[in-house]
Amino acid sequence: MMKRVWPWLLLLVIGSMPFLALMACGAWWLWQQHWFWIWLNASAACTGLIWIVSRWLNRAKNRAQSGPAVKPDTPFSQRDQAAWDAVLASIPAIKQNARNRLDQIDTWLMVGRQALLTVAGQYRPQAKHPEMDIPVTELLKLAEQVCHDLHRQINGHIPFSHVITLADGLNLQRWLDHVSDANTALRLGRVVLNPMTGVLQELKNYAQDKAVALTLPRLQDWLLETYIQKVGHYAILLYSGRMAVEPQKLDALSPKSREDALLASERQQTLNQEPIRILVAGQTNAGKSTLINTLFDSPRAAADVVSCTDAIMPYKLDRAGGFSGLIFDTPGYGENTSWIHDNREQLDKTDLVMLVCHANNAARAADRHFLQEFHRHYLDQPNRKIPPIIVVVTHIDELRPLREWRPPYDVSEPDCVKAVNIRAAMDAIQQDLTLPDDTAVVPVSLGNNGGLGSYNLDSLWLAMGQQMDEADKARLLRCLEDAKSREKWAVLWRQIAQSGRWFLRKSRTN
Amino acid sequence: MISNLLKVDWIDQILHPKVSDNRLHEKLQQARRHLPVPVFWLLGKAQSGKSSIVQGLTGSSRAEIGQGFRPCTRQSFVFDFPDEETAFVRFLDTRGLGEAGYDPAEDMAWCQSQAHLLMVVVKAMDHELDGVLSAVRAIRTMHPDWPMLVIQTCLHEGYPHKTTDHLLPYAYAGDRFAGNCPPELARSLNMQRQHFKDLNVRFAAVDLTQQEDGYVPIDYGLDALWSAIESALPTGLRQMLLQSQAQSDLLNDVYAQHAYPHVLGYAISCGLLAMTPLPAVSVPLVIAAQGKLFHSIASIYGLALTRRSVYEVASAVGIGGLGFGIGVRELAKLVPGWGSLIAGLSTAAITYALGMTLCYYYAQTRQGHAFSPDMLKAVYDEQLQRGRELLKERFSKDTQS
Repeated sequence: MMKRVWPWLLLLVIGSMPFLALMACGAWWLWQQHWFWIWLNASAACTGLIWIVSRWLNRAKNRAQSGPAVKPDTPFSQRDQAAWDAVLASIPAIKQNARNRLDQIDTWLMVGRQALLTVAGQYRPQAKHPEMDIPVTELLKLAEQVCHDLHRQINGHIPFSHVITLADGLNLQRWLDHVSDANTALRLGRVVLNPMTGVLQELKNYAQDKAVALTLPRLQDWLLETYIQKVGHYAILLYSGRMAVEPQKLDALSPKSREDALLASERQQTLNQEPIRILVAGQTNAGKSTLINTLFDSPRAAADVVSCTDAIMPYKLDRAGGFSGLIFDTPGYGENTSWIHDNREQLDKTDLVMLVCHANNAARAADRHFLQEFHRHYLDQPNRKIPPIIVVVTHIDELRPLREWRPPYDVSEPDCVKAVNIRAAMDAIQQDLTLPDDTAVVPVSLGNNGGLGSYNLDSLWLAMGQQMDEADKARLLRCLEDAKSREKWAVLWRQIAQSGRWFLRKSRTN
Repeated sequence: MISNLLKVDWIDQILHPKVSDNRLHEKLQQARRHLPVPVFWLLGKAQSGKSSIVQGLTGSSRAEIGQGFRPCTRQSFVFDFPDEETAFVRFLDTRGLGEAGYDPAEDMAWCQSQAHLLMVVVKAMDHELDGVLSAVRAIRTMHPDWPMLVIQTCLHEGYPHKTTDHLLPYAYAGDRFAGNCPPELARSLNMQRQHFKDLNVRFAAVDLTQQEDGYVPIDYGLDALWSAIESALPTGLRQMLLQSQAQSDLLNDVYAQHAYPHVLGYAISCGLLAMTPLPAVSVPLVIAAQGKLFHSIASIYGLALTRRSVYEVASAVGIGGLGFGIGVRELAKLVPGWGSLIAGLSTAAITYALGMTLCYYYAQTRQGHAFSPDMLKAVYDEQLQRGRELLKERFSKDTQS
């Protein structure tokens, strides 16, 4: 170690040579000017100040490190205090014993056992094996608590502790060398790069090294002390009966409540597993598949000028920010087709409807018919909530003026012809479909638009977000309906199980 | 002397018709049964471009079309051009289409007695054709011989970019499109045509836009549409209607353009009235209709119809145009078969020429130009010739159905 430092020190001296020369020259000049004594007094005063401050820092540091590792939550009773004092008193003896064998794991077990015995002896003076007089679960809990606290303490107090391996930890000296090597290089680099502050820093470091004194014996002492104190503290809690263990509380629950709790958590799980189901409906060529592709930002659904969606297709929607669920692309419904009739089941399993309307298609009888049937379907089931509807107005770029596309357009306060027409289309749809005033009507353009890309999709996400609450309610009610049939089986199963128990009891009493 | 008497009598009748409006209307309705007004039956969804087609074909303004449609059946509206009284072409707009379960029976019955062409209007990129198709099938089943034309509109909706212009020359003639057509559009058009494949229809692809839409020309494919119409229903309408948009050099003022369809309408009405087989019975009716034409031209020019103006025109035209001709025509009705048609055509042509001459007279008066009876006579002769040409097809035996 010392050998390796020598060349560095030499380099340091060479590096600081010019400045030392400067100092000598300065001193000579001061001598000549008769200011030397004034300077000497001033520097003595500075040194004194540094010494005092470093002493103070030293003490603060020491205090921080050797402060009490244990702060009892509840005040100690006299017996507790006596046990605690015994633990503290036993520390020096244990330390003496264990110091040289800390690299063996058995030593730590032994130390822990000694601390436990000390406390146990205080609480059960008559017992032959007082440490055996506690339930296994509580002992495990104690071990767990000690480990947990130690972990927190080490993490909080020892630098780089999260990267030290166990082998490193057992051989602390190597680790300390490691740290100081790195430190030396860093310091030397600093001296070369910025000599003046480097030298000052170096002086400071010297003082601090003294103060921190992060040496192996100190660290070992601290660790050992903390360990013993922790074991002692939890042992006191254990023997005084104050260690309340959560799981044991659950044991106190009645079997009925436990069963119900289990059922509740199971149901919660199934509810959470059931995804939100979003149905995308609209006339042929309204842009349903294109909408889905745009929502996914990549082609998923086949979209073409000629209608090509001929069956309901589910897609998994999973978007950062909470939108997740299944989104269903549907074939367009026409005026004469029996869409509703064919897809009634799908309609029933829906939490949110996105009705896609072509802005430029004034024939909306089919849409109206769809909505009527949709509402009728839900009105027939008063226990279900009508899923919220978002109306997506597509192809707004095709509105007049035909060849203009300069988004954004403000539809709440239209300031140009296009915006006026978009608004008119939205109002017309709202009127034609007799939608309630608070229905979300979102105008979008999904085309490429000559490189500008889709427009106003943000608003659509926002609308979806706003409807998610409603959709969630609809989902829950739908799930409850679904769960009922399952619940019947569960009841039956419970009855069978209970009769089985009864039978068992019966046979036992007989 | 006699001719002078005749002329005075004619002028009196023009200014103060002896026939009441109701009777004239009634007689006209009767006459139309012989030679029905062609009806263009527009079958298509709302906003599929039906009004644009009426606009493109007649040259009327959107506002005129909007106000002109009046309900005729429970689910449809009719637009008479130029107006109800003198209509020589009618447009039936089926607004019921797009409602669930449209039944075309009522509209079919309405069209039954009239020469007609079914124009199915679909947007080029629309593939929600269930409603349209079922209506067309129903009509086709009932009337296998009715001419049908599928008009594919709004071609620009299938253009790849907003900056794409119309392909010139017209690229969608016939079954095979030009190679440089936007591929999506071409596919969509072909797909639509396949749906109508077994229904024996003709096709035309058009893009009739507004001036402010910025597409050139605004009536892309109108020629192709006219060709399709004429080959499906030859009534000479194309010439008649295009005439109103390309006026003769003499009459290129805005008033004449407005007056033209009325002249044409009254000319055809007079022709129809003149076709009454009994000689002399129709004469007062024809003169009454001509009187109405004169009054309507005067009101279009915003001038009063004075005895002097009628006299000046009548004098210039001479008795050949008025009195003597009537006699010959009435006699012609005695010839079986063709007689009444000849009478009809010549009366229509004379009425047309009279109307146009009056337009010329008013135009010159309005602009303060000097004109002589000779000039009026020259205009009359020219317009008489043109009138015969225009109306020939209308009063031909073929279209009498």
